Amino acid sequence: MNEIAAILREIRPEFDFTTSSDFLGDGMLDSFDMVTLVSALDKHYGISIDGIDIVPENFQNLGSIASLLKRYGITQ
Amino acid sequence: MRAPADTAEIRAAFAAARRPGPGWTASLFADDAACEAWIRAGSLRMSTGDGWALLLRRDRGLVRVYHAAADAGALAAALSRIGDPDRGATAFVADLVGRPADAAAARDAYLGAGFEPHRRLVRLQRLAGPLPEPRPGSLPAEVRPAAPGEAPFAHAFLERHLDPLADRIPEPPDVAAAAARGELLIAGAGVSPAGVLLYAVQGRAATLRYWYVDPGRHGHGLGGALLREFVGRCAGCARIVLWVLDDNADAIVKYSHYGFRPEGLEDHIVIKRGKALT
Repeated sequence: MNEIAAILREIRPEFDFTTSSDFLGDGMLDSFDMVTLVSALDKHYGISIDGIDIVPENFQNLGSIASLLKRYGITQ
Repeated sequence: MRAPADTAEIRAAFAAARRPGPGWTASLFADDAACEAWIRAGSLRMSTGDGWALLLRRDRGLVRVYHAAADAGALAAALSRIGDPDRGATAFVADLVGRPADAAAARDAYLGAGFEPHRRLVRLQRLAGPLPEPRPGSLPAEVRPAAPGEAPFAHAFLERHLDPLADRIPEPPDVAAAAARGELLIAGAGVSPAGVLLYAVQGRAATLRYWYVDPGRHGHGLGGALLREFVGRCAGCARIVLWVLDDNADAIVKYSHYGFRPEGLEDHIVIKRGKALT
């Protein structure tokens, strides 16, 4: 999950994402950041996250994002 | 065009527009609570096609456009479905938010569909840190959280002074809810405020949503006092964001004084007026 944390730090360097279990609820990411995050994950892993998967629950914390990536064949 | 039955239908339609590859663009950033409120109000119409989804929302005298599209071609196909605004509405309005290259690409598609540029906003952010000292000679100003009963006066103040196209005037319940949370600050008498600042705290981040001082009351330090009170109340937040018109040099200087800096997002507002007005 270090890679995911590093990608998140690129988007929002002011936050420590390892300390939160609810990025959106804690205000660390907003809906605009989610779009940026999806693009960054697509680019970094060479995948294309399906629109149906771009929902807040899949980006809630490091574990959620890792589970989402696992569905696209990416293991951390 | 049809009225969506529920938020799930909107989400599914917008998700279905996504295709593998670059070029995907979307402009609906509202949460489920907002979408549900719009559905209850009967203010939504939706249309879908191959690789695109459009949502139109009647907002007082305007129709706001939200899209999801697989690429520029799909977006153009979606926008070609927009005719004239509904009877009684003066214009279609779209907010195209993103990093400069992404927002500009969506903007170009809208311009190709007959929209015109209206204004551009940039998002600023302030990270945690001390506030600058008040300017020498600044007089104390009466700035305080609005009492719930003062929310209607604050709403009337915003409605009187804001640009409905660029500023998206909040609904009265929205202002009332902010007052109930203690997130509505006023300067001067509550019945006839001289200035208003409305904000929202979400966990460790806050958004300054509206900050305005009656032009006739400028020069008395009210704007600075409101901003200082707001930043002080958000001392526990690691980040504060706000949107500002890119040509509002005075506001940008003021925000810069309090530590706000551009953080990379832009909002291109484009409009398409009804034929009756051309």
